[in-house]
Amino acid sequence: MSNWIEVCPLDEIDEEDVIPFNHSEQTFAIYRCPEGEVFATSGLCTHERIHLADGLVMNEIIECPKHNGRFNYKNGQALGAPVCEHLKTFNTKVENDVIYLELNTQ
Amino acid sequence: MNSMLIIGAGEAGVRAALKLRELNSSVPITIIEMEKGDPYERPPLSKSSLTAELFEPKNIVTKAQLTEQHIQFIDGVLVESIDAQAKQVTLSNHKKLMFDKLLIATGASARTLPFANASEEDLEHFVFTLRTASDCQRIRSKVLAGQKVVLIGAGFIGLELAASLQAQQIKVTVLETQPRILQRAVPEAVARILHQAHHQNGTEIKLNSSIENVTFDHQARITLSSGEHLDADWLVVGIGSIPNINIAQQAELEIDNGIKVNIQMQTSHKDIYAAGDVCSFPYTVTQQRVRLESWRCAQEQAEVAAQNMLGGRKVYDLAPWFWSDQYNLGLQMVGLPLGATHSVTRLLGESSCLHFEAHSDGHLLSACGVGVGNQIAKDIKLAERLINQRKTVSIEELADPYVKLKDLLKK
Ligand SMILES: Cc1cc2nc3c(=O)[nH]c(=O)nc-3n(C[C@H](O)[C@H](O)[C@H](O)COP(=O)(O)OP(=O)(O)OC[C@H]3O[C@@H](n4cnc5c(N)ncnc54)[C@H](O)[C@@H]3O)c2cc1C
Ligand code: FES
Repeated sequence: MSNWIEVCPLDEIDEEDVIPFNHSEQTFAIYRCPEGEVFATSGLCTHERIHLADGLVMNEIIECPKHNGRFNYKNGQALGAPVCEHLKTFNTKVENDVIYLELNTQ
Repeated sequence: MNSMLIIGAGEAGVRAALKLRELNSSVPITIIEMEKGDPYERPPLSKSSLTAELFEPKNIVTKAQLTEQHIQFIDGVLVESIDAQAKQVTLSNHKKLMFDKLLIATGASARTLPFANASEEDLEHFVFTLRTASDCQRIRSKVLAGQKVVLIGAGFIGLELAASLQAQQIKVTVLETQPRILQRAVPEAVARILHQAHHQNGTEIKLNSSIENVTFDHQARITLSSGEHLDADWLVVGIGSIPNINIAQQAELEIDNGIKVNIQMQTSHKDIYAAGDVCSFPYTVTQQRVRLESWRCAQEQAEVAAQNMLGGRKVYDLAPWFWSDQYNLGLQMVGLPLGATHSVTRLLGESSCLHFEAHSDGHLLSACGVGVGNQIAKDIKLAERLINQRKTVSIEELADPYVKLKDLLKK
């Protein structure tokens, strides 16, 4: 069953940037890529659980603010030391300029 | 088949081994480490490992993961000597191992003071340094709320330790011979914000203070050259480190404030490389030789060395990056201010600023910032790219908090 939740208006995220988003105990990072598409991953780095939203987005890469671990935020892939565990990703959609995130309901 | 031997399983040694394996699935790789147990990260030892309920080292990898990667890991064994001619090392268990390429990644040891009046027992009981997991455990076992502790040296480790001990209701006094904290390490504007945070959290920092003598009884009694006395339940010495060069020295490798390497991380012997805290290297921007103690620098140098051990011609020419955490503040710096002619500070509020150093030709050389949490992380990452891409910038733009560094990068 799909469970879409509202995140924020699209223009609250700059292009090639990221914001944090919290929803019932869970924290996410929501990205807008340079082409304008929106992506979502779990909010915390897999190295030391630091929030990724203070990190730097360049193209499709988010770099963790703490020790520079890098992930591809489109597919969650960890791109080398010190991060080895991938990030969870979530589906997103934009309707009427509002971003929605799909929670995994299993 | 070429065999790769690595001495030391710190950040540099382990990263080199993993890189070697990533690039070559069959070459034999062996790491020798004198400490016992899984290789671990040092930075948490002055931060979370001191304050956490339970002591849990943060592993770089586990022995099982090394085995899985077919990397032979020999722990609890010291390399006692290197025979560079015969390309062989002798271990403390009297075994000898041959190598085709060797990486020396022996790191550094904490520097301490002579303490002329101390017995072995006094040293055991009162005097601590912090470099290894067991040093951290020794300090942890000593901590009791309400104690008075003196830290000698306002460098990064001393100041991080001060913050971690203060959080455990210990009254900390830091002694520093210089007129300000982190004198050589960070710009004044950044040091001032950190000093302020220590002050607000109750840590006393005594500047321009040199120690005349220390005596030990049921407490340690420190006499400063001003004549002032300080009593402490125990002391931590944090006055920097000494590179572990003795085996390299015996092997007659060239030494210059660390094992001397070229930009390919190769020592004066063509088959022997060095990386991390133990080496001094020519900084590509100015060609000045430096030795750094930086976690990521150790990692990056090791990866360069690994590629060259396999016949590559990689150079280490990146802007070194460093971070420190004290209380709720995060400091980061990138590049080195060597050869800087211009400097400028962006004030970003009470407890945050960014400081830049640049050359008169417009090249950004270094950036250092501090702020709450990871406030300045993005800007330091952008500065890192400006430096590594050798972009030219204007001092006015750097000074203006409304100019986005990302826009400078895209110019
Ligand atoms: C308490 C502390 C906090 C730190 N915090 C930060 C920080 O916040 N940010 C940052 O950027 N950096 C920090 N650093 C620095 C960082 O940890 C080092 O730069 C990094 O560990 C260097 O890695 P290395 O592999 O060169 O040396 P090391 O990590 O010292 O590893 C060298 C290894 O070689 C082994 N060895 C030595 N001689 C022999 C021998 N003869 N035979 C066998 N084995 C041998 C040693 O046992 C050791 O395990 C900190 C360091 C300490 C101690
Ligand atoms: S917390 Fe993200 S790389 Fe360490």
